[in-house]
Amino acid sequence: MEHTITVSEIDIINQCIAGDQQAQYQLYARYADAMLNVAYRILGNREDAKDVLQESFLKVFRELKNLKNKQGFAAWIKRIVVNTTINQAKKKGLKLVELDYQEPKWELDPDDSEQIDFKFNQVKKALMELPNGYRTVLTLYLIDGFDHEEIAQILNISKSTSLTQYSRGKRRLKEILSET
Amino acid sequence: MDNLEKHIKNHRDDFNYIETDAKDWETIQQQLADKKPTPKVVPMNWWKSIAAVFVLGLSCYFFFNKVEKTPDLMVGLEEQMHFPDIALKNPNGDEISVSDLKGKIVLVDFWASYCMMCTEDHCYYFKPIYNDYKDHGFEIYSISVDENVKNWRQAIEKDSLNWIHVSDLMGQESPVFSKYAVENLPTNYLLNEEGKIIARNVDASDLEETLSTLLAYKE
Repeated sequence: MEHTITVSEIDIINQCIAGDQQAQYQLYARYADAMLNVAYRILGNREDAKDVLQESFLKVFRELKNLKNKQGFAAWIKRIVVNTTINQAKKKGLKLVELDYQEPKWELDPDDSEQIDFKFNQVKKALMELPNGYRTVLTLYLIDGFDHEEIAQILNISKSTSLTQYSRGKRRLKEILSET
Repeated sequence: MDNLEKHIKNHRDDFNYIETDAKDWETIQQQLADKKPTPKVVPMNWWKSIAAVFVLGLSCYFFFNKVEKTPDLMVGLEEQMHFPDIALKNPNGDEISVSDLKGKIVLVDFWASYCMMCTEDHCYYFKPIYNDYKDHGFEIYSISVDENVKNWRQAIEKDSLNWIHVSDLMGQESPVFSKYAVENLPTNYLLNEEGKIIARNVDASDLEETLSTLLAYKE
């Protein structure tokens, strides 16, 4: 993953380590919304996502002084949020890997999707209708920019499982979209 | 890459559509403030002392009455409290209790093989400190809340975590959650030589600082 971080952000991080509350708020304000959405896309529930957000930021402020590479802050915080989200999902008993997949009765013609003109609002809605496991892999890969190696590590599954989950999830998403 | 993948990737930023509100930050700020225990010692005159003893006695009375009613629920294990003893089995089936470790500084750590932050803490932070201090009066007692014995064993072996590992293998149903007020993983308690809690949720630098102060260890 490629992330860039501005010089002023490094200053803010250093001020946070020194215990400056104003700086803590600045850092929070920059990342909170994006990080809330990372959790929301996996959990599909606003309140659970907010719990994750809180827990993650407490961890961030607690561990910030141990972060060696300040340039890597954006990737680091995202990783903390994703890990906290996965823990929360397990605590809530959400399935993160779909095993009981039913093969669709009819196959989509591979060219079908080329003709469909996707509407963002429909895609957004369909994504939230996906079973948790598919949605997790799909959003981590397509929106959050993790590769399958990283997803496998995060979810404690093999890389090939991540790949199959991904392609099945994508197929399911297309099915949902074609039904609407 | 097909059209759908392209579509989603192009709209990445649009998928951030729910927002935080002011209350979220307030909660975080509150909790950050709670984590800094700075008890102030104020000189008291005699009548204030009597009042304080009276209030203290009264609150103890209510506190212990409450504990009796809900014996399983240890709300907030606090610093200076004696860590309630527990005996669990290690992967070989031998029972080890926390009280067996009296005389040592003990880090009691709650984790699970699927908890990435736990395993990261283990590998990057606790392992080097453990290796430095294990022969000088420091021990780690890791309580796993795994259900699957295989996952638990594999996680220990994979990262070569050579300290004490125990579990009841009851997963999320384990009584340790309520007994030790464990709400999130990882959670840890640092105990002194007498088994009293000296800190909760220490990070690597706190731990190292405490150990270097308490244990006479020099390179």
